[in-house]
Amino acid sequence: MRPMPDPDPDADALIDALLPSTGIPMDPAWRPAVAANLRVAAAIAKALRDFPLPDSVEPAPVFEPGR
Amino acid sequence: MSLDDLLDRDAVGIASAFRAGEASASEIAEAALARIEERNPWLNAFTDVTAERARARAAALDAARARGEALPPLAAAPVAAKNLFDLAGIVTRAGSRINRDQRPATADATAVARLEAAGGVTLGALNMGEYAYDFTGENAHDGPSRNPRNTLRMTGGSSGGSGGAVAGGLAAIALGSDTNGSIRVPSAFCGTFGLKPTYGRLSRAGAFPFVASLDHVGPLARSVRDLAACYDALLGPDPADPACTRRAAEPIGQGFEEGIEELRIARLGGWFAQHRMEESDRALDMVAGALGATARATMPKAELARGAAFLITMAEAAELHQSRLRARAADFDPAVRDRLIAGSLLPAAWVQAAQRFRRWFAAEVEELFHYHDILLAPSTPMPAPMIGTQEVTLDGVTMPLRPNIGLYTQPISFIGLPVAAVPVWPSTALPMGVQVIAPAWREDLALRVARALEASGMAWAPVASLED
Repeated sequence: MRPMPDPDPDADALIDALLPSTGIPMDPAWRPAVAANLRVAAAIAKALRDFPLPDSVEPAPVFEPGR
Repeated sequence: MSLDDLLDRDAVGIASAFRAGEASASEIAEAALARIEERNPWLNAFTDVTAERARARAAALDAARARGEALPPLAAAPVAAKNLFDLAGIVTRAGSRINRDQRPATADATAVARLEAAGGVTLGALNMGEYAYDFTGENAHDGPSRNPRNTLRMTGGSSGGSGGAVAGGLAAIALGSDTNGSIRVPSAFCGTFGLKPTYGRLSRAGAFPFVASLDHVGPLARSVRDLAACYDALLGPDPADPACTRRAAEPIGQGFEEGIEELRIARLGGWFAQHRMEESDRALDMVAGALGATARATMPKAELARGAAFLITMAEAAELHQSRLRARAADFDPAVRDRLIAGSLLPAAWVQAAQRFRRWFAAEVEELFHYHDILLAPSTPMPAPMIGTQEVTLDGVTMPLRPNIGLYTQPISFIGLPVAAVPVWPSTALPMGVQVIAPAWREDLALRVARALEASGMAWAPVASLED
């Protein structure tokens, strides 16, 4: 199966799609800065995607059962 | 020796003067409070001064001494805490406008209580960047912390008041927190020592959280022995912090004096030698030279580690603040709010990828420690910028200043390694910081190297002269 081309996430599309579900009231004046932050995050996410890890590598948050 | 001179000593020095009867704890506390009154208008380090609490604590220490009781190691030392630590009786504002509408804390944070149990006299709460999401020490509500080395310059953040209070001689030890660099950056900009311990080593209970999987607490101080004494005081399990280790406490005591003869020390290249100003290189050259460290090491994919820390920070902080974003978005510092809103919109897979990368990176760096005991890196790419600076030029590329102050600190806290931040002086005007990075759970090694640098005169943290 050929992989799909890497999507270039559109910050404005992410805001339009997801912001209503958060219930956060966003002043339109804040939008450019929010979008700029999302573009930085998207670039990092792409860099991580471009460095694939073995399936055996588990995430590393903090959890210890029984505490 | 005058009380004013006494306050310029480190915490251990002040405690020994008290024990020797050179001054009472009450005299020391009054002198410290007077100094805050005099200098805080310049430095904006303290947001709350707990004068009555300090007087009561000092009186209790004087009474204990009069009864001939054994005195704790830091008895009568003036200390303070970043205003995200709970101090009983005052509101924990965490640098925000929103949280100051809450009720006062009913108990001290674990770190505050343990530092007081070791003899510290708590003078108050210290300025910080809003909700700790900051590298500058600027605060939209309380005004910027000001750098005692030059009050037109940033302290660095987010523990900005902690750096300012220690470098300015307002407190001997200040508690800070470090998620991406918030102890190490103000230590570098203000010229203090700082200790970011291993993730999970010291209890964060009662400290307002930021990013649960990256948050640490630790001290800023003017000597390595103060870092060690404070660290020892804070050690120990705490069921109130889910990440706090259940390992038995491993106090350092005087272990920082053991020397560095057999230690294999390397300087980090790659990512840590890019995007920097000349001062950053010089600081590392000076430290590596003093330690005879000629070996070089590279942390693979450190740039991805920094990015992954950035994503996890955005996502976890955004989730923490959801209810406040919904109810009071306009009351946030705009720079914090916009990042938190963006963090609320991240696809989950991006964040999980960052957490999986964290596991991989931690294992790769652990491998490095098979060949080296200590790794050295600059703390920041630049010395303290002027307050209000928005952009910086690093290696000829102009970029936003705020997020890039933490280029060198983020990959290290990302995997929870202990770091002693040491102040060095590549120019007479402004200090720079160097990170002395040890394997997990080996704070002792980092402090031994920091002490060797201090003993050789390479690293030092004098009280700033505000007349300059």
